Amino acid sequence: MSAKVARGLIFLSATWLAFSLAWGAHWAASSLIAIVGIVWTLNTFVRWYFWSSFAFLVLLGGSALLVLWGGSEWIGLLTAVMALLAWDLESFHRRLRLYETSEGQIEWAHLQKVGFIGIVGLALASIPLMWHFVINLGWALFAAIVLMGALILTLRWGGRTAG
Amino acid sequence: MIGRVRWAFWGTIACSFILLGLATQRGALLALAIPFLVFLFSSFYLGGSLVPILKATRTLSTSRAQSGEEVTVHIEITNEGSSVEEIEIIDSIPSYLERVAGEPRLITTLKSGETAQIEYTVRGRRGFAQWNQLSITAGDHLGLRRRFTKVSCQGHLFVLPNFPKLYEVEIRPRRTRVYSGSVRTKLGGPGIEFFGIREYYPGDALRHLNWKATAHYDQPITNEFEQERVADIGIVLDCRERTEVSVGGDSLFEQAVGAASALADFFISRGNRLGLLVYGDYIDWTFPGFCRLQREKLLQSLARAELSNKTIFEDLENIPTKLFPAGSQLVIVSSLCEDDVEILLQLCGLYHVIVVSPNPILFELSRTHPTDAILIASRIASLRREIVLSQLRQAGIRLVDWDTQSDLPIPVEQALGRHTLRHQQAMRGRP
Repeated sequence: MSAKVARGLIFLSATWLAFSLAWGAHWAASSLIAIVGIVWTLNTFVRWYFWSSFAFLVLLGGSALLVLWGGSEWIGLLTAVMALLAWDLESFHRRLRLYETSEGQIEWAHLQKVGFIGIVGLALASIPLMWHFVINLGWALFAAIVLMGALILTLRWGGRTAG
Repeated sequence: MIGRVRWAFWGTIACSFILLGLATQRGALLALAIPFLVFLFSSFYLGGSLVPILKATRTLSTSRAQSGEEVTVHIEITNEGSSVEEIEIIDSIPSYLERVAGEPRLITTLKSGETAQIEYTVRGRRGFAQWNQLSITAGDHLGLRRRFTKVSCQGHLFVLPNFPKLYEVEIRPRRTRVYSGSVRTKLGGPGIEFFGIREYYPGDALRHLNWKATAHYDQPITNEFEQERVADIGIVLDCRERTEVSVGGDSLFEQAVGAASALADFFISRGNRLGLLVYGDYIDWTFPGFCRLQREKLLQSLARAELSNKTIFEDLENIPTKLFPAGSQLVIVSSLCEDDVEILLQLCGLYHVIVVSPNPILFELSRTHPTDAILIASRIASLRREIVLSQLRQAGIRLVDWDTQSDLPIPVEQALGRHTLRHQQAMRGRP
């Protein structure tokens, strides 16, 4: 089940992103995203392990470029979230193949959890897209430092239990 | 990509979006980092327990199996602590065994009080397999937090050697025990085999009167039979690596173990008191005993037997002779080295010795493509071995030179059968 969902998400995110880039006449980037999306989808069958991480990064890069080139911010965000979910589900499915799983129970639980957090992430990320505000450089720097500090602390904290 | 690596991967992506957003002053790029930050932070608040209290029990369909027999291993793991989102359970299969069906690993969610089960089937070659622990990795669904533990889950399996059944091995130890058995003692008395005649004494059974002899001697003469008693027997299995020949996965030592098992089974089934010395790694001595329990002990000891190259056991001179009662029957299972002759001759002075020797030259020759050079080498080696064997025969040691291509009972009965014994005794001029 997780593999099918991952394939669907890969297809949707790559298609949207490729069309959006093509809409802005960024033909090279659009073609690249389309090719990467197709190969990533095929890769879910043939298991070329490093490729999914590479394709995931390419799609994230494409989302960032779309935003930078003035394309739809919503499509950029949706693509990033879907690529994240697809990458996680594919990785999870790969792990499941090594084990004798009990009647798909864990797969369903994983999908629910990841889907819920993905929706929460999408909802939180859409707030700044809907509500535009301007802050001066000092506040921006302060916010950046606080955020980076929090992130570093979280990473260190997480690193202890990450195993 | 899981655990720390995933933390670093997602964290780097989030930081990159934040820095890119700040550098380009694009709020939308900052927004792209938010889903990643939500994933990273949520693993702490929604991640569940990573310290499960697990109780594991292992059940085997049998604790002893013959080599090649399939055994089902069933494991039940109960979570007696708080719920775990993802738990990976891996059971390692001992090297003696190969998996036939099922998986020795499981990934599942395990809520408080729930039980997970693993079942797989293994097949083994001779050996002693022991399970001690299960490897447990508890984690969250996001793959960000992992904790590795081990849970005790004991189990053991003896894979006993396969061996053929022997029907006739005649032994003549110098001393026997007082209990009646199947070893003939060269003493007249109650028994089955005719031993001789003697003058009739009151109390002798009338049905044993020898009427012809009575008529001949003109006085009552009765038949006498040979007493049959149990004997003390010691089997010595040679586990020295220098006597081993291994070709393409086939091992001469395994043949020797099979022979020792067959002999042990035969002697114990005839009611004898049997002990076993596995000579090579250490003094692995199974104290002599009778009956089926002793048979099981001996087979388990043979299942554990392994080759060893310890210098102290390089020669047979360290066989602890005090373990075997003087005059008892000693059966040595070894492919033999040239320098073993002297020790065996010394043992011959203390015990009645039988040597069962799997032929290493024929064993290797049957498993290699014979070129001219190999054939010449094998002839030379065979001649040298024949010298060793003839020295042993001359000393009165009964010998089975076993070509492992043939079934063991045939050469054993040819060399150690009743008729062969009589023939050998007649050749030496003994009664």
